[in-house]
Amino acid sequence: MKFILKLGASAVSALLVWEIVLQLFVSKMPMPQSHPILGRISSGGVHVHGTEGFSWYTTNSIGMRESEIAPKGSNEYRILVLGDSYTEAAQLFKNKTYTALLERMLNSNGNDKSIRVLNFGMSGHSPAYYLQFADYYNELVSPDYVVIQVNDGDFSSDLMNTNNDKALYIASGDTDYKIMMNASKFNASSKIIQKYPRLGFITSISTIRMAKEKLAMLLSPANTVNASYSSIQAKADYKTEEIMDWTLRQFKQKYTNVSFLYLPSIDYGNPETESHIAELLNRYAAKYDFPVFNMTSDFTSYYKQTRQPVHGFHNTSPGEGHMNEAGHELVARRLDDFFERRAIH
Amino acid sequence: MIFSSKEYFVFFILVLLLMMIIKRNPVKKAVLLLASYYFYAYWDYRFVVLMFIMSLVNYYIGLMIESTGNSVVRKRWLAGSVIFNLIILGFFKYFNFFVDSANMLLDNLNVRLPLLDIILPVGISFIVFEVMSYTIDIYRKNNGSPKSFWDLALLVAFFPHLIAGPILKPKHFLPQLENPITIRWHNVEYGIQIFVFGLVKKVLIADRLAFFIDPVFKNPQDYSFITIWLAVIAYAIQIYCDFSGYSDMAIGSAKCLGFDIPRNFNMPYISRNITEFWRRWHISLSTWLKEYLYIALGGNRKGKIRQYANLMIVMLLGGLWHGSSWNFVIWGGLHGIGLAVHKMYADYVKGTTLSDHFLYKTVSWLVTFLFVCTAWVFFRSSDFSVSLVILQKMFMVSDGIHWYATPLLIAIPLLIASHYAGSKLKDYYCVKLNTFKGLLVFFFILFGLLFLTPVHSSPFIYFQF
Repeated sequence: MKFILKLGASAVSALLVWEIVLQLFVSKMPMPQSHPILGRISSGGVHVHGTEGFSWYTTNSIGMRESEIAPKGSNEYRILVLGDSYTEAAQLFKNKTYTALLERMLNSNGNDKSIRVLNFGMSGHSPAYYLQFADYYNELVSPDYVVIQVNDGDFSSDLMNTNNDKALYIASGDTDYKIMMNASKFNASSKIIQKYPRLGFITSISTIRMAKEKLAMLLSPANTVNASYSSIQAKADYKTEEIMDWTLRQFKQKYTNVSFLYLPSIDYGNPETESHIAELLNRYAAKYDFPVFNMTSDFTSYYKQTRQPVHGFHNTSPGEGHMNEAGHELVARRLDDFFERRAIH
Repeated sequence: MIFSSKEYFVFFILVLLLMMIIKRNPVKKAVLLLASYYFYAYWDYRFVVLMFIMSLVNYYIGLMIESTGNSVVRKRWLAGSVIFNLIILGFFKYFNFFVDSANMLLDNLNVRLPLLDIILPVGISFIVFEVMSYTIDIYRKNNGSPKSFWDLALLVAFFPHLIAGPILKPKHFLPQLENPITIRWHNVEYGIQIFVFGLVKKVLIADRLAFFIDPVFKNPQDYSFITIWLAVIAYAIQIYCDFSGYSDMAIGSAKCLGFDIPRNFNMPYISRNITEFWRRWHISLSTWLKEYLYIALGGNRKGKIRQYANLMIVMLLGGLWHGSSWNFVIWGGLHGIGLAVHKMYADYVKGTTLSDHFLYKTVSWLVTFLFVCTAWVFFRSSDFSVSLVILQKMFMVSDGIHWYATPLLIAIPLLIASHYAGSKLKDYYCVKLNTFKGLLVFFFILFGLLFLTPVHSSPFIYFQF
């Protein structure tokens, strides 16, 4: 009995030590909650992200990497940036993200108005989410301009939910396309936690979360390789064009003053490779009169000049994964050019 | 099955339980032998028979050597054993290498010798060296043949060391088989800690560094001078942690079963010269090469020039033993040159007080470490041209991707901490797993392995040999 008590006490003590270490240096996130409109979001609090790049940051009550959204001031110009993990940029401290850099650049340009660039990036989101939440975002933010960050997956696997991992996606309806919801993924928590809400705190415990992930990987029959984003090949077919056309048409109806920021996957071994999705986006965006900021030439030129890829971090692999500081700097400058030329009233 | 897999965990627990349950020692040994053959068959069942035949032939030759006092006859039997073993090694490991090399020379004559589709039996290099040391030791009268063939079969097939050593000396291991196999809590407690220590080195250091090293060595032309140097140093750490980690897991597994296997590494990167490095690195191999090759060639008994030549021959063959590639031969040759140069130099500074000076020691360490790292370039590179690109980038400042791999910065203090822990284990100090402190340390390391294990594990580097 004494030995069992010692066993239990030592295991718990070791877990406590690791909980502190993981929360400080590897991974910490507040527990998820259900939002009536946004679905599963993280509750406000401190996040630590150390598995790719490193940052500590806070999220507000709607899970966005922003302070609480106050009513818009009379002299305020708001740029709402929608995007996925590339915009959320958990790998970087806030002041290094392109949204923060853009805000700093625009406010130092001597504009009459106070410019606010709002980072509404959320990992895993895609155009279906931005359309579904359009009314809510418009009411909450009252944006003067909307930048929608997209990449190849947004008009292929993510949008059509090919991997069956999206809460919202686009599918064929009776007469046209429509946004579909996967209720089990849209909700905040597992069935057990829905039944026993007081157990919700478990999801914020780093040791339990990481142990669950690692055990799943270790016990799986074969090590599956998570394709790095740079290796995802977008398979464009006739459906892609139809869906893109429909999606952009919806954006025209839902938002005013929209532009698209296209972040390409770069094959650094062969950087000249062009994406078919980028070509389609240019065509359909022109149809609806949306500006497109295609970062392909910016990224490849930077790489050719400096030999430093704009993706990847020192604790992962250069050229793979999310954009690093250099990539965010390039994006911010490109958007700054656009907004400088455009009069901000 | 590799030591860091769930299959090995289940297998080992079963073997341990059987050793505890079974009462009769001959039955225990039979079960251990069957388990070892199963372990080998798990890799490739086709070569289980080969291993058995090698054990049988060498046991028979050992008996023949022992049965006669005629030195000529003894020598002939020994030669037979050496030839038999080297033919097996030569065929499986070097046939295509030599044919390929011959084809390069015969290319101008439009002659092309055929290559064969040969599968390399896992651990063949280690098995061959082990059976050769058995017959040579009998010839030299350093030990006798065991009473039962099955003891030799178990020595050869003993699963903790089977795939990648340490190379066991029959005179040290066979006497242990004469004692009853007894599972004692103290041995299990100690063995687990050595095993976990090895697992930490393999999983947390070696496998993490592989993420950095592999892309750099694959395309070295893309990376900067600093990144190349970091990758080379990282590889020195990776190969040490990978191989010594494996050896520790082998030693720990054996200890749990009540067997003592000698340590194979002794902090090689603190060496201040190449001679010392080879006393600390892959000790079982360097001891084997010294006792069975270097001394057989005459060692240092036939003059200085012959001594340096013997060192070169031993290291060239030692390099070739690692793999059928000219890169390994070059690596061995470099170490041979290093050993010979050090011998010459040591004769010069002997008797002077220079070697006691702190600055001298520091510079000696640095030169040795840099030399070893540079030689590792040939060991790791996929071919000679890649080695040249890396060397060029190392010694000429060049542009490229800057990648200051964070795992390397974590690996170095972790390595220092693990060396400290390892030196404690060497002194037979270990934490008591029935105390709170001991359990706390154990669980801390276990959970660390769980949380920090990379998604993909790399195969053990020395398995390819």
